[in-house]
Amino acid sequence: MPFVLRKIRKAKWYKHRGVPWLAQGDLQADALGDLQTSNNELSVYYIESNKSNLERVVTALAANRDFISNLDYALLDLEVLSELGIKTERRAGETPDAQVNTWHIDLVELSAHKLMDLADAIYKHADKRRLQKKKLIQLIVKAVTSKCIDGTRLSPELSKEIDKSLG
Amino acid sequence: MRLAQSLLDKVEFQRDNAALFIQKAPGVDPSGEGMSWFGYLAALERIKLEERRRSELYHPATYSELITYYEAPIEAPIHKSTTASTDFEAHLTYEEGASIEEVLQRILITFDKAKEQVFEDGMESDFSKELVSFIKNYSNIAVRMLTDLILNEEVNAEVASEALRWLGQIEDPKTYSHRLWLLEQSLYCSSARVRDGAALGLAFLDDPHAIPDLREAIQREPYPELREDLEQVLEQLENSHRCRSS
Repeated sequence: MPFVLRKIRKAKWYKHRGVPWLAQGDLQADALGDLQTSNNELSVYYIESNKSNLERVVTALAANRDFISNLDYALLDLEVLSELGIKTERRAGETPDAQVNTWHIDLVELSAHKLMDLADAIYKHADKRRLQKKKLIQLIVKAVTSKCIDGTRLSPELSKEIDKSLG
Repeated sequence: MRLAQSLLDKVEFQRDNAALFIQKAPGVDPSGEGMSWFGYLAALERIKLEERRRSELYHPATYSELITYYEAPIEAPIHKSTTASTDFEAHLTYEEGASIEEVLQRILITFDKAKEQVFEDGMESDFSKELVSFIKNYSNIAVRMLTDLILNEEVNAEVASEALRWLGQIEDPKTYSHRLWLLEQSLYCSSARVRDGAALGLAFLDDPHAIPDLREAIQREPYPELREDLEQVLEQLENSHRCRSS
């Protein structure tokens, strides 16, 4: 079963034991900040069921920022979206990797209820991971060298870091 | 940077080559919550003024320890810092017209405004720009203020977490050891979010000095997901240590 990937901040999704005041099974309200919609839409990326494109997607997302930092993400079964009645539309993404842009999906016509259901599904079922800056530098350098990422589209600060790594 | 003379006169302290002992600093701590750096800065200022009064050439000194006692009889210090040598000059950076209280007020306002912001990893924000500017302008005084605010958990946890990430990224050698110390100590804060920010800040610094504190924090960490992230940072620092020593 394929997945969808959404960038998050892991600490906002800590469960009960990490947040003493939080009731069992409840979600920190700040987590909704990771699901900030625009025009009632939310941007995610399609990930193959064998996760063969996962590394490429996270690399492109990490390269699409002001500077290189850790990247936290949640992976949720695509099937969950249909169970929640959430509509999807494939639209081009805006990362510096043209291939990754074809895997971009917008979740559309999101109501507040659907967004809460999605948050709950991410909280309960998604696999939440973190890649550290050092690893991401290696991945971005590899992607720039192999021309998967268009180096001219990197931010000046990020380009400087990559140039430093390339020596 | 200046403190009022009336406050400076009230500070009682002793010093030797290794340590600065602050015994009394009545009225110097405006918050009344033991923000020891007020007493500390006042003592530094007094030493400087007294040496000038005696027409001695003022020599910047370093202390490896700062110990603060406010109450007698003394059983245990209320604050003991063995963070790093203290660079007098760095702490006495003078900015015309800015008092310590004013700088603190500005920092508090910046933290308060930031509560409304949604932060994103890898992206600058109004808050991060202001934070970087505080460190550049006020050097270790700003780091001391942040230390008190964050370790005493007087500021919003999400904003504190964001500040810690940035404190790991700023390129400023003068404040390095103080920032490292603050990040290490923040691993023991009660908020998981602050501990996470500290771990990320340490990952940015990539300094193996933090390895013992990270090990300790991993042992204490009650939350499995955060423990995994701490272990990831520990592994990174251990690798860096191996690379540097080979």
